[in-house]
Amino acid sequence: MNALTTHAPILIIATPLLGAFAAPLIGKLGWTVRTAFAGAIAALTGCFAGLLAATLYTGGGAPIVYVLGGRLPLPSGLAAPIRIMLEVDGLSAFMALITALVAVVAVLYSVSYWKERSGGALYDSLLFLLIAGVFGLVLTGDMFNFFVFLEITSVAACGLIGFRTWRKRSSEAAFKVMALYTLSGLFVLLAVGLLYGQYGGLNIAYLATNLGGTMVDRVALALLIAGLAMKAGAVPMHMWAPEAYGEAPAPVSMVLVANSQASLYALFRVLFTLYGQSLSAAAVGWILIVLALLTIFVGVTMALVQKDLKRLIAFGAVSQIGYMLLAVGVGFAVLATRPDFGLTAITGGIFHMINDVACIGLLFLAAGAAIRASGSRDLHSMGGLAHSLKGTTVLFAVGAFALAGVPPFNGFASKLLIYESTFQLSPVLAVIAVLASIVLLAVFVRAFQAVFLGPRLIARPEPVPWPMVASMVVLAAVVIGFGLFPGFFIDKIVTPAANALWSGQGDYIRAVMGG
Amino acid sequence: MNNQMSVIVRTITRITYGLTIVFGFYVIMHGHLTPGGGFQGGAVVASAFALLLVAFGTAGLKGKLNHHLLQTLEEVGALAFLGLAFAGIGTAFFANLLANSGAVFGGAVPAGPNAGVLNSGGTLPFMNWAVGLKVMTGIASILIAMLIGLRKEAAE
Amino acid sequence: MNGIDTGFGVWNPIAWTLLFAGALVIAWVFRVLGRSDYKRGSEQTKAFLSGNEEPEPEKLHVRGDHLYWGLVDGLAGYYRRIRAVHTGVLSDYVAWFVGVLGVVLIILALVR
Repeated sequence: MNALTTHAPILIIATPLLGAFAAPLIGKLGWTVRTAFAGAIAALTGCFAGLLAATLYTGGGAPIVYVLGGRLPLPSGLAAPIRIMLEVDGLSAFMALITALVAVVAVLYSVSYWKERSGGALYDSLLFLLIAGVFGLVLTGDMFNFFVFLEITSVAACGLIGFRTWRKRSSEAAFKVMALYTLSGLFVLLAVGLLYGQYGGLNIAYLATNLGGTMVDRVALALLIAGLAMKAGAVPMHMWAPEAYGEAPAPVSMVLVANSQASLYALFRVLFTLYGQSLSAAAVGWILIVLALLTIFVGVTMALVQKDLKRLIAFGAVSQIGYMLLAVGVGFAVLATRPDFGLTAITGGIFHMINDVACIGLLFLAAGAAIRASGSRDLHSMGGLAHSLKGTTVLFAVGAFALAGVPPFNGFASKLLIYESTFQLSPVLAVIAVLASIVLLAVFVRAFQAVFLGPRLIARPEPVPWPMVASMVVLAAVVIGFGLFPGFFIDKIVTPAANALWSGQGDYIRAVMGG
Repeated sequence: MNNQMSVIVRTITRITYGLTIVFGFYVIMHGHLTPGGGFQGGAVVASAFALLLVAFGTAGLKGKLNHHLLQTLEEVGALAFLGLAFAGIGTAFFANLLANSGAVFGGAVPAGPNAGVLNSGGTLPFMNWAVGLKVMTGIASILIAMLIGLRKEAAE
Repeated sequence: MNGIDTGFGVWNPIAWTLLFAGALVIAWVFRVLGRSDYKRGSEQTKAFLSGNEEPEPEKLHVRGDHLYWGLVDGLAGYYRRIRAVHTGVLSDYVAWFVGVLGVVLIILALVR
């Protein structure tokens, strides 16, 4: 274990934080230096995330604990861990890999996305702050720090959604998101406060050993479920999502999807690791399942009638959150009896996270390129872009097919796992999920036809610069690679993550509390 | 545009703003001993700027505080904080290098009730100063930005 | 190694891709065996609209927002209600959040 491996968990958070703080200063040195700096920070962060994941997987999936400010979690013989700590298990490492993928792609895409070259340093700063916040959310092992990182992502996300201040709708969306994120953050803080008041500790592992299922615990759980589900964009609390994803710059929309998934991760962490079986899991699981079905159904049906390209993709993104919620909800509902299909469902849901971020990211980036090229985002006035943007057309088609679950792309592999496991709890769940997938294919056929097919309706679209194409190719490679070799990736990275939820509560607690 | 306040307010401001700044610096300086710290002290210092803005209007600040200088100082404060955290990475991120080392701020703290030893805390006082710098410049630039917005609205 | 066993079925993308490629080859063979008197740019490729002149393609094009008009019209009742829910007013968003929070609280308080 060399020093870099030991410190990898904190370096993943500290490096983008350094990027966020230094970007405005570096930005004074000109466009070239600023771009090189952003690229270096993103690449370093990606390397650290890869290193952390590799360390975890070669170590057999045992959780890695990193203590800030000292070596030991329990200084001077205290019974409860009081230091700030990061705890990385299979699921955290998996989420860190997703975030690293998104970060690198977003920074590469942003190099040439902006037509004007001023003001970009502030954009870089906010983007790195958002990335640092998401990394913090998925790596922390402490409830209060979890809230702090939640607020960091909220503030940075609002700044980025409203970044194009000259457009009135961007400011409006940013204001709504600010209000709702703050609301959800406050309810999460209230829940954390309730837990702290009861047990006198904030460490997740410490709380998990003490939770007894009292009424206060239940109230805290309800606050956490509602707050985190809102931030993940579950129907009927999803209304901010289409506005935010639609108004944010294209690379930011992709990072926001990763941000929503981080909230979803937090929800899973709270349910499986913090609460586990200390209360009736079936009821909570069914709450998630109902929310998930609503999310899937309303998401796709609303996507079908959108007239704005980015809002259409945004509703598609909302519906995909429903699939993950459905799969993990099924897994949690059967936690008491632990049949095999529960683990399969969780595996499918977790696998769908990385698939979703790759497909939706690809779609947002391709749509961003098409909107940038044509100067319009109205499905009625776009059209015929395939004549001049051949690469973007193919990439959009790959993303659309993968998201709708067409074989052999990656969306099919994870959705198959979800269908066949949810079916065993109740066939209705699988039927709705399959039906929604078919409607989703129709949605993207419509978007594809409107934007790329037909005669040239846009006289002279701008060409797409190579960094944008390169970043889309990276995501397309993920889509196709995960689609063709799902068994390999499930074996290597998804199974440790699913096991961390399904049976990892004991390991997670032991890594901090010992014994 | 004459947006100064009455002579009473201006006179009181002349007397108090210096005191406010000194009190803010005291809160930052004693952050590791007394309630308060970098954030609170920085906010107190920034409130002195707010007092000046209210009493003397925009003319009172013109030329003295410029936006670019404030932004640069803010970034320096943030980077200094991160740098201090990185400095301890030999042990762990945020490890306190200077505590009990005998160097500046490295004094040992006696056990039991005491009046507080200023020369203790290790890297904590430095971190308080970094946060204080960031907060006072950050809030000052927010105040100036809001004032510019208000003036634009008034002009329209 | 590269397939998935869901406990209920099996999915092997490599085998599927090979099969799909085989089907494409068969389709291509059929295409090659087809008639060879098709000529590009001749009368054969012109659309026949009851003898009328073919309008400009820009005017004929079915734009994307017109697709699935029938499906959406058939579900008009659902869409009228669900669109009415998406008001775009922040207070309504907060109301939905509070409503969900209340329902979750009641369920968790009642179910042991």
